[in-house]
Amino acid sequence: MHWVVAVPMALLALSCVYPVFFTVNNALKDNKGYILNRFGIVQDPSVQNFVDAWGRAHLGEYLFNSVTVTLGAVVLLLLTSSLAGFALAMLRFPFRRVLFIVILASLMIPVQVVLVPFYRTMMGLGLINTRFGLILAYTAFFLPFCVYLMTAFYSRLPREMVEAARMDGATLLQIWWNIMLPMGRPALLTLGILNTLYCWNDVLISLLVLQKERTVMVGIAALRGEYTTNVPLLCAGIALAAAPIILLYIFFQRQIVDGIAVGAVKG
Amino acid sequence: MKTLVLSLALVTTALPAFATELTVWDWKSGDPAAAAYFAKAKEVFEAAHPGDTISYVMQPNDQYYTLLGTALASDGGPDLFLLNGGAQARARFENALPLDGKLGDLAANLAGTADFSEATGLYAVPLTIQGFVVYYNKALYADAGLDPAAAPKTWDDLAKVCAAFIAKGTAPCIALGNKEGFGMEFWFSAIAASLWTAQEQADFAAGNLAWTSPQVVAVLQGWVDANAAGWFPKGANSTAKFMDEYEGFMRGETGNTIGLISDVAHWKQFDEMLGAENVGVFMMPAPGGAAAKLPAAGGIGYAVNKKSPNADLAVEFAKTLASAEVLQVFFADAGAVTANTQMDTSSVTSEAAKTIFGWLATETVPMAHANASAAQLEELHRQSQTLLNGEVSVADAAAAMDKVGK
Amino acid sequence: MSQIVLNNLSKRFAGVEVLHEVSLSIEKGEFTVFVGPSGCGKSTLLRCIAGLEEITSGTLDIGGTRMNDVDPAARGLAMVFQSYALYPHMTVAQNMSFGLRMAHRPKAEIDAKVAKAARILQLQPLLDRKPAALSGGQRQRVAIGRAIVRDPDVFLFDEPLSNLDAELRVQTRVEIAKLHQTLGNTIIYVTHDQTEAMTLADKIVVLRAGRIEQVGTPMHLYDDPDNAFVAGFIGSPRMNFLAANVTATGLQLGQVTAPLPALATTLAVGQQMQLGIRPEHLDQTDGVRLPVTVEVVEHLGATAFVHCRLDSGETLVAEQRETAARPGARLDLHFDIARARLFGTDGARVR
Repeated sequence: MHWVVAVPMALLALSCVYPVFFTVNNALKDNKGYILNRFGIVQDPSVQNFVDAWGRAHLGEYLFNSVTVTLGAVVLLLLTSSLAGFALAMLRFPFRRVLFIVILASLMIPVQVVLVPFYRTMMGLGLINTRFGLILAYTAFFLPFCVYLMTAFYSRLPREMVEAARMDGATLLQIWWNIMLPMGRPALLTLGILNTLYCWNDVLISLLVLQKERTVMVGIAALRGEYTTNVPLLCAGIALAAAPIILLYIFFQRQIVDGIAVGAVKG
Repeated sequence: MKTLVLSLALVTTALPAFATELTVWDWKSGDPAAAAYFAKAKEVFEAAHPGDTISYVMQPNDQYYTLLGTALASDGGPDLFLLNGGAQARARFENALPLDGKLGDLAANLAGTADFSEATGLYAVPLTIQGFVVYYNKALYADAGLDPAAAPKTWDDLAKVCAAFIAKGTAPCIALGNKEGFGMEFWFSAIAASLWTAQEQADFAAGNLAWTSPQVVAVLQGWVDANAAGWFPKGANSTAKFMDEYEGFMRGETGNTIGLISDVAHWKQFDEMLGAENVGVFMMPAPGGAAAKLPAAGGIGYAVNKKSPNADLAVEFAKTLASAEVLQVFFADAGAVTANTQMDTSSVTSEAAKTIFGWLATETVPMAHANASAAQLEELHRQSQTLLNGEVSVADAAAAMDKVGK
Repeated sequence: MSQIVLNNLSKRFAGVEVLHEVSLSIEKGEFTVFVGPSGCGKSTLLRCIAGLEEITSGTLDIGGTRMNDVDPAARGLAMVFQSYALYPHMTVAQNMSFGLRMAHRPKAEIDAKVAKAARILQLQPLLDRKPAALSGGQRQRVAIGRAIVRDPDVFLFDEPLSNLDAELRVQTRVEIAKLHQTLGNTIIYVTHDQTEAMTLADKIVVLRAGRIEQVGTPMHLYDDPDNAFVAGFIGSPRMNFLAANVTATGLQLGQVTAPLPALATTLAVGQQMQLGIRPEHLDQTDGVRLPVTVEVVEHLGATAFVHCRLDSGETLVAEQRETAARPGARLDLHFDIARARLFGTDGARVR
């Protein structure tokens, strides 16, 4: 009976691993070697593509921008969404439900629709070509979902915990920092993972805001030409761009799996 | 008071000491093959205009028009922006500065301006000329028992070539790109070039030649007939047209392919991959007896943002970009066929390229699909698939095309 | 002077009044229990005192100070919640010290107070554990410990035993009683369980539908209920009510005739009444005789609850020390009319 599970699982695993193999394998070929033999194992591996991607395609500089912006945006997102989720789930104030519905509704607006007003706003605030501007932009675009998730998560926690803290003399900010933030860990971890990926992988918003400097995924996107693409160079770029995320996963593997598991069991 | 303002204005325009940074958008400046050209243009311009600087912003090709549209609509666009000739360019003319009378001597030396113009004038400075020819693999011709030196000149010649390939059975006759998406516009323009009269080309461009007219139906019918005769490879393809069709050709998997002459200069790529001795070139013939022609159009060109506060300086830079001196680098590195007719192409060694440049001087006709709208091209992609699948008749496909507005 | 004084306190939620002009005084050191069926407003009343709910109208004074709009933490109260509301990410010691830490008390003071509370509640071995590693009873003690550490004038308990199993509930009940004797603080305790109310309270406040029905000592409420609701709510099993008709000579209970108890009120002949008889008072050998059919007998060891049906169809429960009753058998119950209580059909006590 176990092979009924094992075989599909093995296929699933293979379908995840193969693209990684394809990328690394081809990153080590030169363009001619790739075109003549796309799927074969590399014959005389060279790291030239990695050198080119890092230097000539500026991915080295772009990586720094991506790390800064992603880190900044994720921290800001987690702090603001847990604050908002705390307020919406635990506190009573006028128009609370209306506010929540407005936030929910803003989830349904596609990015493309607001690009022009967004760009005007960023220009008006002088935030074009600043990393801080991109951090704010990511926070704004991804915040509605984060607020929704944190509100839903906090709504399942007993309100009595907040009341107990109030009886203990904690201010609202103290309650948030000492109780809600640590209690929100599973949801915050999930959001942290999701938003890291969103921010890291974003191209469109980053293209508009950071025009002089670039984030790494924009650098990767720019490696794709109008007509042709140097696939080995692109593969090298992708491998470089994916490396920090993979390292992050390896470092936080336990917490990430726990976070997902906790979320799943309690969800 | 009036004189004071006037003299102040004179002083400010006369003083080059106001350092200006021109922002230039494109999707090419990061391309290794084009990088030297863009660097050269910047160098030449900055030397001529001390204190002023050029800032290239390269946007990824697939997001380029979205971003450009957003930036222009927000009044935050670049000073200059690169455009593809034809419909893509025309969609942005409302944001572009009319250039008639602003280009000086250069105006007389530019080809391909039609694709960057409207009745109201010229809106971008063309850099390159794009066109389609058929490249063929001489080694495969020899394998199939054909004379590698005898390129097909007529539809019947091509039919004989393909019959030989089919008889040999090892390689498909004509490479075909991604069957789900890229479609048939290269085929369409290449056949139309040889089939249509100059008047018919003009009528089609103006939208006066219906898709259901016999001339257009003949092009579509050729597509269906070629497929029925087994000229195209069978089966679905996985990657995009260029990756699929041309890389396959470069691996020696197909006998013939309709390719580009510029920007991506296929003659240059194919020479490198297949060996120059194996690359042949001919102009796509059309069903019937007409002489084959080379469809060509303005490839890419620079427009000046009409809201740019530095529009005059931007025009100057557009002229630098299109100057023969600077474009020479583009030609040498990327094999770009430039719009500047003063360009010296004598240094080229590729036999295929020499042949193409010879035709460019005498055999060029309009590139039909460059005048189709984005909506029409999208529908053409769809119809080309259903035609290959045999889901619709040629008449139905043509009727469907006519329903899509220009 | 009373420690806590409520004067005409009302509470509305979205236009619905859940507390109707409640007035009450609680003395210093008194153990007061709010009891009533669910939805009676007892928890809301407690939360109004705690400051977790705003008071819609009326006044709340604690220690002589108007507290209507004072922050919960500044009212000198500590509260133990039904769910304990422990902070799951903190150890027992951190849970107990949270309030002191939020007030930025010196570390030595915090440590001393936590150690003292831990000693009182025998929590010393558990101080470094997280709540998830504790049993229900231990969590309960930590919740109480957290309240003790704050050294409050008044403890508020909101149904603190309802999450414990029966045995632990009895044990913890005793511990809370001991704690009250040790600390001597004022306690307000909310429960729906009349046994807890009877065993713990100095003063019971019976609530129904947002109104106080009666306030008094447990025995006072047991012996001298103001109405049928209080009479029925206090005492277990609950008081039996039989329809009674006033005749010239006494009361007619179906086929049974009983003398009138001694009353200050004069009753009109033909008046409909309810006669309340507690099950434990149906264990007499003489007095008024009630012939019944036994339906179910529940043996509890020392006593038995005999569920019976009168010939009139009315059911009642008798608590008997020794019984040979068998289901289906006929049985004669006897009670002393002086111990029965008489109520009008509206439930009001007739004295």
